[in-house]
Amino acid sequence: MKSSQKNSIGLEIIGLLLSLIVLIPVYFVVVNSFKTVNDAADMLLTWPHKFQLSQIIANYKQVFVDGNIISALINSTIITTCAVAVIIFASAMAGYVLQRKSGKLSTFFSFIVLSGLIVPPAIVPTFWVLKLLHLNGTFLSVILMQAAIGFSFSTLLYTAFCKTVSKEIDEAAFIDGCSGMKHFFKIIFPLLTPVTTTIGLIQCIIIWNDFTIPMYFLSSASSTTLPVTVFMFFGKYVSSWNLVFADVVLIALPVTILYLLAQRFIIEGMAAGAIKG
Amino acid sequence: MAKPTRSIYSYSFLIPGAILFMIFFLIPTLISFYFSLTDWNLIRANFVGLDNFKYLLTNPDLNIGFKNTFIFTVLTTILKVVFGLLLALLVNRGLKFQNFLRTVFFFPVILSTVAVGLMFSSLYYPTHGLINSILTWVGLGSIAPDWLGDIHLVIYSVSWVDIWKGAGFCMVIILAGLQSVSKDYYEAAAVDGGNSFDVFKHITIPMVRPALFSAFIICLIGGLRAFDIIWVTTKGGPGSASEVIGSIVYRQFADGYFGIATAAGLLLFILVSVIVFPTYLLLSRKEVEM
Repeated sequence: MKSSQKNSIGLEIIGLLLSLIVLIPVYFVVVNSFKTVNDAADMLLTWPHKFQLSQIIANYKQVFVDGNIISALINSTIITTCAVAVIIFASAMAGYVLQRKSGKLSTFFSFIVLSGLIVPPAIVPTFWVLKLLHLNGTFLSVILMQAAIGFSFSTLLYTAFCKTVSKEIDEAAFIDGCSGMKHFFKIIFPLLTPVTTTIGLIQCIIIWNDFTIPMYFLSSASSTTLPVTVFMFFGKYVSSWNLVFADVVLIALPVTILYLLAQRFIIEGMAAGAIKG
Repeated sequence: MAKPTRSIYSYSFLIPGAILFMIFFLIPTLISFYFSLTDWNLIRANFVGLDNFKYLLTNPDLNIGFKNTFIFTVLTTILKVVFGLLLALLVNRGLKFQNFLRTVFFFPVILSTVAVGLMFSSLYYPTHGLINSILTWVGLGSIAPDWLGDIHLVIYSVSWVDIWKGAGFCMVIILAGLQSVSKDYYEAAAVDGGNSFDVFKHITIPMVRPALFSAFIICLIGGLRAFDIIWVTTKGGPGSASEVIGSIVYRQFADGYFGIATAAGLLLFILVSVIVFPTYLLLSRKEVEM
């Protein structure tokens, strides 16, 4: 007993030391975003030697003004919310039917969904398709593209969750003369709320953070999303580490808050989705 | 009851998803077989045969991308799964700080790649970045390298950034697997007098095999398709030293060579399909046998 206790104290210490590998870089970024240009250039872990609220405000203000943060925040918010809504709409319906039906078409579609998780989308030729649809450079194209990418993962989660929803509910609805669509949105969809929440949170984080798609499809500084603006800002202010770090803090803050509030949903959902796939 | 179920579960429910899939996966993938054989640049598209592929595979600034993709994928996949397993075992033992540790280890997963990339650009800073400062502090200053500037080292340095960001993801997948293992097995093993290595080898590993497999496949796909983490930390540089297939696609695209970009994208598509689908089938078949 004594040796196992000693053992577990050892493990506690190892665990805490390992956590420093994550925590030190994070602390480093935050603390240096509070400093002056010259102090931040020293790249030290120390607390700013003259801690001044005015310096912090100045740094963050400059990032907001010079870094297109406001328009990027608005763009990111629009794209993320709309894409998540499209994902939930399309994948809830698909996940439900794929779980309930077992015909050939259902099997084929399930295979398509799975391959959507594996193969890389052919991004460059997508420009050709979007040109035909007159959607090049629009938010709508990015929203739909993000939705297409997130569709597979979400459909798998919905399919798995629909197993827990009794089929008897469907049969009762049919006897009452309810149509498929109406039945789904009035009765089934509310029952899927737990998984809808999980998917909403996870897709929010993924799309908010995504760099690749806006990098390809939204190239102008004023009409792109937060990660791309932050990257462009870094290109211009490469030696002003205090400002770069302030920008990094701004981009990470919303997801960090979401993560700390809804950690369990996010972690369990990601693990469940991964194992189902 | 066969008839009613048929009318409630309509395939029309699949239409929104099918449309998204057609526009953004199916049509672009099919059309890329054509555009990859042309010098397409949005205005014209003359047929050039296999020139794009020849160019991609023979130009040393480009074919380094295939070698780097291989290094990056192997290194990140193996190490993320191994570290993920070790972290999962660590936070599954009822430690006092277990919840705190899980929160911390998973945290990098939810951070934006841009944030992580910029963070490491400073940590890897050659003269006095935090990592080299630590090396100097422990007396290894003389060997402190230029992590992102040394052409032989850079792809490994970037791989470590990706491992830092992704190990926590493998941890939660494997942890979910560990938690599904019934305690009865461990009790039975304790009765039989198995030591902890036996238990690990004969109970833990077989039981978490599905989770390990999921983590492995996901890391494999992510590694082959990598673009953002490389672009943010090095833009494929210095020169073309850390170029991967994903960054070549983007660079050719940004320079207006859509035909070459499409050909590179198609090669990536084929590479991923040829590696991942058989691995998936092989490993999931093994699962059934177990």
